[in-house]
This record gives sequence, structure tokens and C-alpha cells, in this order.
Amino acid sequence: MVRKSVKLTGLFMAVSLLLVAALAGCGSQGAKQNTSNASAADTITIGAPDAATGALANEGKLVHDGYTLWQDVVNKQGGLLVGGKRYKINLVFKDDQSKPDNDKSLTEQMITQDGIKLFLSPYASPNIFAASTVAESHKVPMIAAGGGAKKIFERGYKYIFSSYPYSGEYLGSVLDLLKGRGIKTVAFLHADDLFSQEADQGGEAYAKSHGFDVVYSAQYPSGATDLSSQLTQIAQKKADALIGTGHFEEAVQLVKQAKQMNVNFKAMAFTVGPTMPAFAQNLGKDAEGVLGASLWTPDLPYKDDVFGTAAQYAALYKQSFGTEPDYHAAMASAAAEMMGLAIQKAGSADPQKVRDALAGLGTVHLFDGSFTIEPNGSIKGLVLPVIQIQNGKAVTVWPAPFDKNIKDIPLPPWSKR
Amino acid sequence: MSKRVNYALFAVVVLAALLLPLTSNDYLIQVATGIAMYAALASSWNLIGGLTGYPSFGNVAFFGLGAVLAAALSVNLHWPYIDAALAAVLGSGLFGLVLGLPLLRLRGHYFSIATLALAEATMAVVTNVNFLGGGQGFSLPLLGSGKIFYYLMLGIAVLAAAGTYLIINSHFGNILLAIKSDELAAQSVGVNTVLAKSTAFALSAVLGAMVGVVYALWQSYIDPPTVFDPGITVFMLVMTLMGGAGTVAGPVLGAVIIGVLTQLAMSFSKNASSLLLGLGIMAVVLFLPRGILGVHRPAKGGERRGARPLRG
Amino acid sequence: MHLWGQIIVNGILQGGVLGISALAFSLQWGVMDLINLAHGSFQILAAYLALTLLNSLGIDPFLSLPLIFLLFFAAGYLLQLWIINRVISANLFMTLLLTFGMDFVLANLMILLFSADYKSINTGYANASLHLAGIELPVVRLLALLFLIVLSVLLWLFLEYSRTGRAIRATAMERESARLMGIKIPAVYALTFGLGSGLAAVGGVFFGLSNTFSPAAGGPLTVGAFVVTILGGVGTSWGPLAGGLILGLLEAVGSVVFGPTYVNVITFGLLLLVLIIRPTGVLGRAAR
Repeated sequence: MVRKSVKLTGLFMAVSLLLVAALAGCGSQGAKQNTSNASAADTITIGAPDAATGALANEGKLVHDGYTLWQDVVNKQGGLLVGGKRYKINLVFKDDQSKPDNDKSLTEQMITQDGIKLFLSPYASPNIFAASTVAESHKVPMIAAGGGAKKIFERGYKYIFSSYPYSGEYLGSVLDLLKGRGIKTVAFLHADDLFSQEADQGGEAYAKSHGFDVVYSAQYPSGATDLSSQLTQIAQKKADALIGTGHFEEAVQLVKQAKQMNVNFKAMAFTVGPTMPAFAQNLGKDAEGVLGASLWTPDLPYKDDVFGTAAQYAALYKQSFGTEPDYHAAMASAAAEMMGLAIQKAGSADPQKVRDALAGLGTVHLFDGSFTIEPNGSIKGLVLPVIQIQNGKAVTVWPAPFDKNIKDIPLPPWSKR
Repeated sequence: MSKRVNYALFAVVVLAALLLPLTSNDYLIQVATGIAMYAALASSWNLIGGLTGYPSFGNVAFFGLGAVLAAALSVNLHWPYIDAALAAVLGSGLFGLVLGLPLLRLRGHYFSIATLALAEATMAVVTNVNFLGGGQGFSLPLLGSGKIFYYLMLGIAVLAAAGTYLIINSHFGNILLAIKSDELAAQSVGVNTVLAKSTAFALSAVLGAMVGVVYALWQSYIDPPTVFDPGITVFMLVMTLMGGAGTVAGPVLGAVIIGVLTQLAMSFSKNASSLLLGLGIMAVVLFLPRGILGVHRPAKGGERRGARPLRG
Repeated sequence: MHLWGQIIVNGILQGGVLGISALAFSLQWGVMDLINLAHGSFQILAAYLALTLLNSLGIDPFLSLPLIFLLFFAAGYLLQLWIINRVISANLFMTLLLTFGMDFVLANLMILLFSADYKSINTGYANASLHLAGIELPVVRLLALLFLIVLSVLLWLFLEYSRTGRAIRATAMERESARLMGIKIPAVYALTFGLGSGLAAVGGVFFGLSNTFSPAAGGPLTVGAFVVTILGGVGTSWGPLAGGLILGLLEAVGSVVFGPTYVNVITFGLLLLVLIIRPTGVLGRAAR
């Protein structure tokens, strides 16, 4: 039968021991590095697991750049002013390969090995769920930028905060806009993941309570590549508007197939998609007139001391990364900025004090708007803008007074474009 | 003699693992929990894939089903978690047994794809059943320290390894090996291969589900794309083959090596860690085709060939 | 617009997209008993290549298609000759693992080369369609179906009537006998994998024209090819066409009758059923 020879088991032990030693060595090296940094005593280190690779690498990069911009701007200003002294900001990123499992172990590693006590979240709700459990059990604060799932804040956690409104609120502004444009019947199509479901449910409830007639509503599996038959069905129901709540590739596919199937809507709106520059690049002129539920645009009339106005933020971002920022990046910068405010208010980088400061921030006014931090860590009161693709660019068309920018709603039929 | 030394080594490894939390290094414990989890999963895969020779690509179905069932029963029906966990493990085992009967009639690639389809179909059904959390998943209460989960995962891993050892040295193990090397011959001498295969599949399912119920509580949030990720099955397979399929220590060794290498790659190289992992897997296939513990072993049976170049 | 007429057409056209993507996968499996888990990433790489040629040199994807086919043929030929042949005669785990490793490497290499951004090959006709008796026929999907039919015929003619094709078929049926008959197995395998890679590239360009893609998009394509291949049957030139049409129609009709959220339940449930009842697929040869 299968006999294990002593030699092999010995080999097994030796290899395991070697690897564990390597792991511990690597960890302690990291810790040493950190203490030498900390001994400079004028640096505040903030950790952020991020999706550099894997399925979320695209949005992960935007979040990464948003955090980084805040660090660079603050450091260029001489550092973060805390209790009369300026501290340099040092952000530490670690690739989670887009997997929630890895977010757990990376957060744990950064807390216990690298001694990091302040965190910005990885991208996407499942990853935030995973990372925040570790932060919670170590009592270190984490500010989430990349997931507004209500469930994250319904767990009674004390150390998780967010710069995002609830997913269920994303579509309110879009529906307000449509209301003023004579749209009466709407069709909803949404993906089956947590974010999409919450956003869709919020949207449908808002639509029904605001006098819209929801003529079609269906859920499709995330990553669906053919929705032409759903569009055929919706065309039969004569919906004025299509509202899609899913992922980038599905939004692009719906516009492509609406044109291919010659299904005409007076308006098309999506939660994820139009706000990213890649949307208009992918669709060319077929993207014209599509509406996007956004969380931030460079046109908004807000400003703060770090970035200046929203427009100045956009300029800074473009200077650093070569592209226009979308809301993922801006909301990430806002989350980082909240962390800065809390450290300043706490007068130290002590995790408990920063957590308490975050909970007590109340209403803040940043370049992305004014909002109030709720007792459960979520935020309330952010006015959500809507964008429309015009000449290949995202133009702010909501709230007022930007509604004067609205073009072509109702949209011309595909045959007249 | 050699057997006694093996027991001693086994005891030393388990003891070392038990004492690991004394380092009170939470990161190390977190990583070790993940490794113990994959050691248990890889061992569970080894029962059907390594010992019986059926290349399952869908074992994540049992892991995911265990996690989802336990969460559903405890959240929706307010069962104590331990009851929910037991029911989930039994349910998943039964699921494996019942589906094993038709699926295990298939061989080779067809079995691989049938099991892959099983996992995908299970995920698709779970995503559409609200009682099972739908696409939104479940959020479970946060429990105690990481050490509990480490010991739970370690316990399942030890159970899996010990179970594998007992099976290998039993009549049942002989039947499984016979099925692997020549199933027709085994049948012709009157062995009930269907029962044996289905039992191995069900045991594999039970172990996978046990890991799943602990995982759900450990992560405290689960959703279908995470717990039914086909990548989890692939890792079970890669780890087992790297360590040595059909051996007791192989899956454990594979889990340790891949677990540690993944962590090292993630902390050293920000953008290329996945790329390195891929190259590492290719290197193992090309240079260690029988796994680390399989290197010195003489080939057994017709199908147990290692890599050898094609002759023309 | 007639609802059911259009839905049936949608299903048939989606069948073309699915089938052309499975052509290569089915060939490699049928001849070499090789499941290429990197299949989807090969396709995505071809889509990137077509996009790059379009953007930098202005070459239309249909003009660059022959070049892309040849490039992938050469790369696939060498890959099989130098790497895959080393393990292909080992048990089937090894090839699964090797191609899984290749998939990982390719997908992450593409992130480094092309970034993780979503792309699509957006030509003037990418979203155009023909109108026929109240039915809409998207041009790219129609072409995919047409290419699939033509390529299936060509593949059948090649395997049935050419000397090389017969060598490939002989190898597929009984490797050892073929070897004794003087057929150079490594070369036949390299040729098959090369041909498969070329066909995968064609499927990839069509995917790029009809969908949005990113480096991570390969996995679902591979799974799709799995399903189509099994439904149509392994080892026949017509399998991908049959499997694609069955799956496309089933998904289109099923998503309307039961709702799109049940598409995966239907797809994988049917796959399981087919495997249990008739593992050789609709057109497949007898089980070996």
C-alpha cells in the first residue's frame, strides 16, 4: 500500500518549516521597516488592501489612484497638520487579487505585522465585508470607498465608515430628472449581485412612489453577454425608459444590443457604466444621450481646503494620472480626506481616538459635497448628480441648475442618429 | 519502524500546529487558518480525485452548499449555529451521495465537466432562492478571536488527513485504488465499485461542507460568487497534485506551499503576484509532474504515468 | 416586430457567437483529449490584437483576421511542440493544470500589457443590423454564424479529405496504431493545437466585435465552450454548430419564459442532464 517513507515525511517537515520561517521573516522585516519609519515620528501610515489584479482590477485602480492623490496633495502641502505639527502621509497598498479572502489576511497582516492602525477599504462590497470584520475585531477604523451595500452597516459594527451613500439611493436623482421630462413608463433590468439588487430595489420603490409605471423588471446573472431577448420583450411593453443596474460590460452590451435590435427608448440610464470614460470610448456615438447615475462630477459647486473646488480636484487628478477622474476615484479621495479630518479632530493617529472622531464628525463639507456621518457609519445627505454622454464626454445634467444642459431627452430613434 | 516514525512525525506536526497560536501573531494565525482550510479542502478532494482517480472540477459545490445552508438555517430559522452546521454537513453529504450515483458513471473529462456543471448549477439555484440568501448572501455575527477558527480548521484538516490514512490502509482504500487503476477489472472480480465510489464522493462532500460551515462563520459574510468560486476547486486540485495525489501528506504539503507562496508573492510584488502563481503552477507540471511526495515513488498501475514526452 | 420570431432569431444568432467560440476547444478535445483551460484567454488576446491593429494601423478586423489566424497558428504550434507535448501523455490532470497555469499567466500578462480597462472593437458596422420582414439581424452576429458554418464545412473537408486531416483523425481514434503507421504524433498534435489556436483567435475577434472585454473575460468564454462542446458532442466538425444553436435557442427562449435570472440554472441543469443521459452529446461519436 501507500507507505510514506521517513525521508519523505522529513522532507515535508523541512519544507514546511522553511516556508513558515520565510513567512515570519518576511513579516518581521516589514515590521522593522515600519518601526524605522515610525521612529521618524512625523509619518502617519494608512493601510489599504486594493485590487491591482483580478476581476476588479479596473475599478481597483481608480480607488487606488483616488487614495494616492490625497496622499500626494497632502504631502505636497507639507503634510497633515495635526495639533500644530505636520505629518507626512504614507499609504501602504497590498494587492488582494480581487478576492475577499485575501482582504482578510492582508488586513490582518497590515495590522499585526506592519503595525498599521488606520485603514481605507478595498473596492467592492464583498471585499469590504471581509476586510471590515478584521478591522472590527482589532478595533481599528476603516473608511470604505467602493461599496454602498446597506448590509455592511446593518451589522452593528463600530469601526466601519463610508464615503458612499447607500446603493438604494443611487437612482433617485435619475428618476427625478426623468419625471421632469415626461417619462411615464420605465423598465428595470438588474444583475444578481448584492449592490445591483439593492440599487434596483431602491430605484423601483422610488419609481413607484413617484408616479412612474414600472412595466418590466427582471434580474439577469452577472456577466450576461446576450440580453437581446429581454430588450425585445421590453420593446413590446413600450417602456419610455430603460434603467439598468449592473456592471460596466452589461451596460455597454445593453446599449449595443438596443441599437442592434432597433429598440428605441426616450431615455436610457445606468448606475455603473456611463460615468467611466471607457463607456463612451467603447460605444462611440451610440453612447450619446445615455444617462448615468453618478456620485460626483467635477462640475459640482463644492470645495474644501485640501483639493480646492471639484474642478480643481479633477485638474489635479488629470495632472497625476493622465485621465479624467470618475466618481470611484473622487469618492476614494473623499474617504481618505475623511480620515485626514478625523485624525486632525482627534489630534492623534490613535485608532480609538480617530474612530471616535469619525463618529463625531457630524456634517462635513468636502469637494464632493456636504454630508452627515450616521451613527452606523454610513453617510446621509449627499446630493447625487446625474451625467449624460454628450459628444463623447460626461456632462453634468442634474441637480439644478445643471438641468439646462440636458440634451435629446426624449432620445432620437436609432434610425435618425 | 518506519510506521512508528511516521506516527511520531505526525504527532510533532500536529503539536507544532496546535502550539502555533502561542506566537500570538494574529497575522500568522490568519494565514495558518487559511492554510489549514485549504489543507482540509485539498484532502477532501484527494479522496475522490487522488485516491479514486475521478478528476472532480466541482468540489466547491459542497463547500459552498455547506456554508450557505448553515447560514440560511441559522439566519432564517434562528437555529443555533451548531445545529445548523450539523444539518448543513449532513445535507451536503446526502447531496453528494445522491448526485454521485449518476455522475460517477462518467469518466475522465466527462466527469470533470459534469462536476463543474454541478457546481455552477448549484450556484445558479442558490442565487435564485431567497431562503438561501439569493444573490445578496448572508451576513453572520462576528465571533470571538481568530484562534477559534484556526483550531476549527486545523481540527477538520487533521480529521481529513487521519481519515485519509485510515482509508488508505483499509479494505475500502484498496477498492478505491483498484477503481483508479482498472475499474473494469475491479468490477469483474465482484467489487461493488458504484457503492465505493459514491461513498468516497459523499465523504469528500461531507469534509468540504464542514470547511464551508466554519468558513461562513469565519468570514461573517458570504455570497454565491465567493463560496462557489470555481477557483477554489482548482486550488484543491493544484495543491493536491503539487504535494502528491493519493498520499496522506501531499494535499497538506501542497496547501502549505501554495498558501505561503501566495502570501509572499502578495507582499513582495504588487502587480505580478498572480502572474508568478501561474508560472509556478506551470513549472510544477513540467518539472514535478508527480508532486513533491510522488517523486521517489515507483509508478503504479496503468494510469499512474508521470509526464513523459510523446514518442513519434 | 414579432416577439417570438425575433426571440428565435436572437437565439440562433447567439448560437453562432457561442459556436464559433467553441470550434477550437472542441477540435483540441476531440483529437488530443486535451481540455484547454486557457482557451478563453487565447480568445481575449486575439481580440486585443485585432483592436490594436485597428487603432494603431487602421486595419479593419476582417482584413487582419487572416494575419491574426496565422500568428496564433504559429504560436499554438510552438506552444504544443515545446511545452504541452511534454505532459500530454501523462494523466489528464497534468494538462488541465498546465493549461490552467497558462490561463493565469496570459490573463495577468494582458493586465500588464493592456491595463484592466474594458475595451470593444468598435467599427462602424459593429452595432449595425439588417431589417428583414420586421426582424432585426445584427450584422456581426450574422457574420459569426456565417463564419461558423463556413469554417465547420472547411474543417470537415480538411479532416475528411486531406492527407494531413486523415492523419489527425487517425491519431484521434487510436494514437498508438497511428504511431505505428508512421504518423509523427508530436507534429500532428502541434498542428492540431496550432489550428485550434487559429480558430480560437477567429472566435475571439468575433467576441471582441460583439461584446465588451477585459483581461478577466476569458474564464466565462472557456466555460461557454465547455457547454457547447458537450451539447454538440466531442469529436465532430458539426458539434460546435449544433451545440451553439441548441444553447443559444434554449437561453433565448428560456430567458423569456422563465426570466433571465434562470438562464444559468437552465444551461447547467441541461448540461448535467445531457451528460447523465447521453454523454456523447447530440452528434457525438460513441463513448470510448
